[in-house]
Amino acid sequence: MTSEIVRLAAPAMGTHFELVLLGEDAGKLRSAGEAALAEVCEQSERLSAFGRGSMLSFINSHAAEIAVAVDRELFELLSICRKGWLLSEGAFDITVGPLMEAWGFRGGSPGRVAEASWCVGMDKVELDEARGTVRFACPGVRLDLGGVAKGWALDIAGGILREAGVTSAIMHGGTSSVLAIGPPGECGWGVKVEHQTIRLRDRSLSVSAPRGRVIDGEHGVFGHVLDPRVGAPIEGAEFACTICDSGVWAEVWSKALLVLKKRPAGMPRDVEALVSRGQGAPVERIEEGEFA
Amino acid sequence: MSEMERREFLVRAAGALGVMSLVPEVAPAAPVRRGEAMPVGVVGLGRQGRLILGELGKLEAVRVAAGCDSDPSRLESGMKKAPAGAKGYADWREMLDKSKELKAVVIATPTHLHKEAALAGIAAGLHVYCEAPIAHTVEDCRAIAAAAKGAKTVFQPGLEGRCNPVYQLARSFFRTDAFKELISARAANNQKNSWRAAASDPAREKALNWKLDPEVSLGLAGELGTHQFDVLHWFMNQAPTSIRGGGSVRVWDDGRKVADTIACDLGFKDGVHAAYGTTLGNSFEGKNEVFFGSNSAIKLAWTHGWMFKESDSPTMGFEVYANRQQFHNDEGITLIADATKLAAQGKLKEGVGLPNSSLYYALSEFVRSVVEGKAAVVSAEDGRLASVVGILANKAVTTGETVTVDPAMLKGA
Repeated sequence: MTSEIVRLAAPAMGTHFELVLLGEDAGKLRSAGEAALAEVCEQSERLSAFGRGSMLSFINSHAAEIAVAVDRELFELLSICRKGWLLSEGAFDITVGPLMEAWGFRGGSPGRVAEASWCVGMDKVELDEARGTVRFACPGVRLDLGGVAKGWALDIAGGILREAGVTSAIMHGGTSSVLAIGPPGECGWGVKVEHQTIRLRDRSLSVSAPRGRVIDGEHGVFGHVLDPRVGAPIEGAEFACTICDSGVWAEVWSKALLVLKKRPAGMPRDVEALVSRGQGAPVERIEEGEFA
Repeated sequence: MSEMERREFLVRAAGALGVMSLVPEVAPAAPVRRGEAMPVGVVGLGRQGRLILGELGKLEAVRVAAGCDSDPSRLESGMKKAPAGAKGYADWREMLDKSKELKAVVIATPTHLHKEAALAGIAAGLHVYCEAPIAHTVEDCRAIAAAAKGAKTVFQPGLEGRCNPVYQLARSFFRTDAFKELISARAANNQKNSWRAAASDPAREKALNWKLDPEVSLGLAGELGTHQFDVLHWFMNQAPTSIRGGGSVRVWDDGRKVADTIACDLGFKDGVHAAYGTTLGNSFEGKNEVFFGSNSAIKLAWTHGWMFKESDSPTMGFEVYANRQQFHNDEGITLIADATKLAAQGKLKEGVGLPNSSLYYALSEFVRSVVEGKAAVVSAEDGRLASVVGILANKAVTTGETVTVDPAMLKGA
């Protein structure tokens, strides 16, 4: 019998993570939730591209000179990112940071886009599986895990909750990344996506949209999602949402979907894709074909 | 000289004056690797052990070669935070026996299990970093300190304040007219956390929740307070002579016996008192220490530090151009480590707040001592003293009695 509801929250990754747990023992739910949120905060510290003391910053400042040994967990994440880059034909790319900076999305004055493009591409990141090291092929390359870190953290947090025996919980990071555990015997947690309620049960959801952060430059107003292949902000796509078994992959696919404006050829069939073709347009499922 | 250049010059000169007259350069670079990276083993892969693995990963001079935890789940999740090639063990004895390449171990087990692992590490000729409190009884603290004293290897207790660049900077101010006479102090480590570890089965639950077991736990005063008591000792150059305390379960009423909210009063000679109040029910102000001096107050919060000057205190020169933060009616001058260098680069503002955690600097100092063959920045005696005060503070909290600190108890081996 489910009788207790425990709610927890913590600031992490520049946003707010919230967690709701259902179960019989409030104390156990709380301790599991605290451990899950502690892990999210730890991932936030490790994976920040802006924190001067983060592991990612350590890689970014050393990997052009030496092969940096990283822990197994981070190596796995970087390997997923490389695979995502390959399967999305370069539409999802964690090396896009220099381009974001050059376009002025990171504050400061815009720089040279063409020069920044030379440092973009996962082909410039060497991952040595045997040694567990990462090395950049040239100076100027920088990793930015902002596009996947929330989903990744939710995956690890979900593992902690399940191991502690939690069978019913929902957790989100900044409302754009959601993890649902259970609920047993129900049709799923209700998640509102663009005025439409989606039922989520033992699945992860990721939403990507160019709105939110924009730049108003001499060539117009652009949202913060860039197409790494052409080095420019995307146009004509309003919103993409993906649902699958893994939080990190949901993040990869939602970004790729938004950039490609179609289902990537490498996207597994069991990944649900929802899109909006333009401002105010309804949300629809995409099985095949372009949507913008 | 243009107005801009003049201002720039003044800022640099002020930064340099402030720092040169009062402090040395205090933010050391990471220890330099000499030859092969030093193989290190981590004993205990709970939350602290995993944080340690994360910080060791940023030190080029070391290589995590092994890790161990008796809990299979923690071993599995902990080893994911270790690099490729690191070996995992269920028992530290097996780790010491099989991983012969190890040159150092970091001990992050529950406090009551430190002694055996620390003594074995020292006996095996390894350099040892041992989390604080170093043990849960006065006798065990003494045994560890005695073994460390007789060893040729480095032993460093995990008292992070002494390795923290902001704290080192603040302590240098503490000894000048900028602060002047110590009036009193207070410290806290507030957090909203049940302190209960999650576990799927009852057997694991008991082992993982050792902090809630009054038989072995040193409670908030010992487990959290020890680190902050050491800051008081280090700044004041003395240990308390008496401790009053009390505590209760105010928030997490789940049958536990260990108080979730405590208050202590540490009495020092010359009538100085330090208040230590901590709760697990509210995170306001987090972990901090405040020293009240006759010319200023210094507030320290582990990655940040501030000096609040009294309006009648003498002008030191540097404060005119210093970076400031407002706290209601008070204005704090931010204490910036490595200010001379940053001021010279025009980057003084970027120095507000340490880039790394205190744990990083503590591990970094440990590795530096080993690599450079120097004495540890934090001695085994420092660790013993702070731990004993933590034990006595916990006794004051649990009994509600005033504990007189026996000077003989504070004496080293």
